[in-house]
Amino acid sequence: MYDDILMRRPRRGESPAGGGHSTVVAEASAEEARREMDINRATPSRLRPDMLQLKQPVLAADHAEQVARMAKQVYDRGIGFDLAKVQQKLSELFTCLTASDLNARSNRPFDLLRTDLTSFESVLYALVKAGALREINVPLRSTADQFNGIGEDLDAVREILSPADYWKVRRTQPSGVKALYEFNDTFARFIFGKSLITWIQPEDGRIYRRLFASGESSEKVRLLEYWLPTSHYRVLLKNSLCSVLFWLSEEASTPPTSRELATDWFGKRSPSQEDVVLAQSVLDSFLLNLGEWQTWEKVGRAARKECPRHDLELWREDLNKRFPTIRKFYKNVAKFYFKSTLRTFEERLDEPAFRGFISQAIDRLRGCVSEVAGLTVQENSPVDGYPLVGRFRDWLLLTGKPNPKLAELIQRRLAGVFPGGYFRIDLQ
Amino acid sequence: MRPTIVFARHLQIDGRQFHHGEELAPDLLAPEIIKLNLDRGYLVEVPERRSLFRIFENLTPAERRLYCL
Repeated sequence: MYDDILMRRPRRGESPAGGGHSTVVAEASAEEARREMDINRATPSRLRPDMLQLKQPVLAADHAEQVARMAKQVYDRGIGFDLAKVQQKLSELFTCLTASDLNARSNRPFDLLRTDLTSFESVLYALVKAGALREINVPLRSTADQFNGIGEDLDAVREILSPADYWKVRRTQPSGVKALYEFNDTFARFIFGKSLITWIQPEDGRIYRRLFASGESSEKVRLLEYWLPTSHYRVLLKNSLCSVLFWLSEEASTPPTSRELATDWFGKRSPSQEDVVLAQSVLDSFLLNLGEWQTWEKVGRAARKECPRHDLELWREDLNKRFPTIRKFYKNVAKFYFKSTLRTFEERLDEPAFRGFISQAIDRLRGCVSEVAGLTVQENSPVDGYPLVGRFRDWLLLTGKPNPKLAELIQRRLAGVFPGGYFRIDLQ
Repeated sequence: MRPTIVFARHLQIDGRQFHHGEELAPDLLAPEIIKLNLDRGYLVEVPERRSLFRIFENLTPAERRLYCL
């Protein structure tokens, strides 16, 4: 007699209306979206990302075609490599590799016999076994913070995700991590060299790769620098990130060099290379508007050692005082990325969308700097002696006799494309 | 595939010093000496460790042609 009542009673995981759990979730999210749309409609004056207009460089109408033509020319030209020299360098590197392998193994955290230093997982396992990960200098989040979703970046920066993060355990394993970095660097160069040797065309001894005309700045480009033939020279687009952001934010002062900053911060007349690298990474973090812990991580990755957070905070404050327009620029852009949250009825910055937009805009402008510099080289060279053989984001590779006026020509052209901007160009 | 053979102690063979943890290069020692030391436990096969020497060995025919140039 109760069968029909029992039939109507919702089962576990089933909504009273008869739908399953997924139906309830779908209905709830649709309701949330409807409410959000209502809020947006009710506040028409709210700034939206599509209303944001950044400054744009003054480019020729056929800029894209010119760049495509240049890329084809660079690809067709290729880079000439001396196979015998590459082979010799490769065997020298292999000797260094076996020596650094033994050196790294002689340190405590690594199992002398079984740790595979070429594998990140194997090294991480050795570090875990040695208890090094417990000593990472990042505080644990409290339960209240975890519940309220506060300080999520702490969990992200505590992790060791790649060999670039070994520095986080350097405090407990100083010699081990130093030896590990040495091995990793040698191994990466060796493997890249091995690939390079297979790319060389036996017919003309040249390498034809899209990478050379890509305008990118990847790990491969960094490794290529080690293997470049000595007969070539480079045009360095120094600190283009700083130049681009100063131009975007209309900062009137000249972009600082990392050496100048290192001199100021470390009180040394001639700062070491390590100091310069550290100052550069602090400047880059400031320019990218990174948070406290992201700055700590970025600086650590660049310097391969832990930098005291107190020092980082002081340097960031110093940069904030010197260049207030950068902070103002980010504040203005962030206004377009605030999103209302229904749970707390407040507006919060949509951090991923904001970061994505900034990173995309900066990458595009830095790419534009490299393209304009490449086109200037192309225009100021004889048709039969085209010197550009490689274009990357931060440097150009040229062959032949260096033209001393080239840096000035590129600077002048960039000043036309980015009116009011200042770009530092060097020949190396 | 050739296994990774590693010295499990310091050894001196034919006037040459080998260190604990060092990988044995291919064709450096005669097969009978390798076998003897493996039996003694002075040398061990470590399959979980990638051989550095194999990076040179493991070439495609095209790569081999280039190396021989």
